Amino acid sequence: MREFFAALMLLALPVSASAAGDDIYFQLANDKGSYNFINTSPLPIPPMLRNAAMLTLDKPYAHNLVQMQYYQLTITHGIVWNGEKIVQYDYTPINNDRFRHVIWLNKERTAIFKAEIYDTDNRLMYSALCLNKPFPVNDPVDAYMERLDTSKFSFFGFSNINEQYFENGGLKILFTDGLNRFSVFRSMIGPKSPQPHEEIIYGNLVYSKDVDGYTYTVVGTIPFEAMDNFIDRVDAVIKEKAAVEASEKANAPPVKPKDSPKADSPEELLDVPEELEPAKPVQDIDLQDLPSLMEDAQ
Amino acid sequence: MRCTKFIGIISAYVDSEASTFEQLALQEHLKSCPHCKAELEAQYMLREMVKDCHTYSENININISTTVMSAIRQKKQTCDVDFAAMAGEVAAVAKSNSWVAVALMFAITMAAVFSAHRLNSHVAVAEAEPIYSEYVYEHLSTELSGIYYNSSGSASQMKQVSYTK
Repeated sequence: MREFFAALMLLALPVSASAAGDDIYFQLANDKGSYNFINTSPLPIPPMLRNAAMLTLDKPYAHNLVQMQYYQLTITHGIVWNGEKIVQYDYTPINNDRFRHVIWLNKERTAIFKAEIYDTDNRLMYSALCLNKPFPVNDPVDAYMERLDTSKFSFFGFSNINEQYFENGGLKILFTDGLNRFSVFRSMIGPKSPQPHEEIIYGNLVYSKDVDGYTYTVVGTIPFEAMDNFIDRVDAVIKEKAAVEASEKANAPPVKPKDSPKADSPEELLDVPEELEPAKPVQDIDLQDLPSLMEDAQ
Repeated sequence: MRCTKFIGIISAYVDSEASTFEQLALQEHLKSCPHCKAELEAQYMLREMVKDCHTYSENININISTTVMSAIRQKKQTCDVDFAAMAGEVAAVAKSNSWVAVALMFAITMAAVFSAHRLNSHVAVAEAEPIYSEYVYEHLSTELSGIYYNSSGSASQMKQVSYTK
């Protein structure tokens, strides 16, 4: 009887496997020294994990945007994958302050067959392998490149391309060097926030620590030490900016009230148009006198 | 005609409810009747299946309870389906109607296996503070637009402010 149940369960597994879907196989490092596999496992995948894997692949990439002074590039030709000629771009960081990227492109450099990210210990953090059809390269839009060029924050080749400020004082700044990306979040310190905190989620490193009443959390593909360094730098820049703003505010001339009427002279203020004549004060009216008042009005 | 009489006795014999006289008569009859002998073997087989089913349900009762309770402890997440209670009910049904019990057990087992896996995989993905996985998701889904997508898929527009150098 047990064999009967086991056989039925085995028959049911391919149903869930076929529901798994696409032809891109993902491998994401997690905090337990192991990996989450997507599409190689016939078991159901949490949607958040699947989306995270896809979002990592679906990012703007262009070789000319990579800050090459921080990488050693090795281009390998002659690889054949599924009958396609592959060009491999291996971006190895010169210093141990960011992660290594290995990308398999088609010969036209318009699509990705494989994307891998390795940490500073050369441990695989993320892998996406397209089995049949390559994933089209997500061309950086003009706005992306413009942001990269005019970045206000720029540390070690990382430029901020997105800044978002929350009403409660929180903020989020996204940095990239063309390959590695990380976000710095700032929020008010919570009641229970064990600090500092290090973790690996969905192939991304997460580092969190408190600085002067705020919790900074960095997420991305740079080592924990670099994250700690960036928190200090971002915090210093924010404090400097706040100090500048405060001094500017103190020296600024008094501002007119927003609703004050625009008038060049006091006479103009008194020159009220006829239709805007002030209303006469309302007198107390006895309801018994109302008929006679109406007759007077007529 | 003679066999029809013994069919009822076979059922009682398998359940150890036949009288001594019936047992002796059946044993004598089986020596010369292959049909009743086959029927007796089928009845024994069915009895073993029901016994296995009952044992299996008890095992599931323990295993699934453990899985669900451990998932609840780790994730503080409630499980909508009480598989342990259901398995217990099926065990009770098995005493009266074996085939219905077998069908029910199969359905519950399949549901329990997939449910347990769902809970375990969920726990494995986000074993630490859920807020950190939210940060990661927000980081991954952010690009130029200023719109970010939270884990539930809804979009929020945030205030954009530029720094002055």
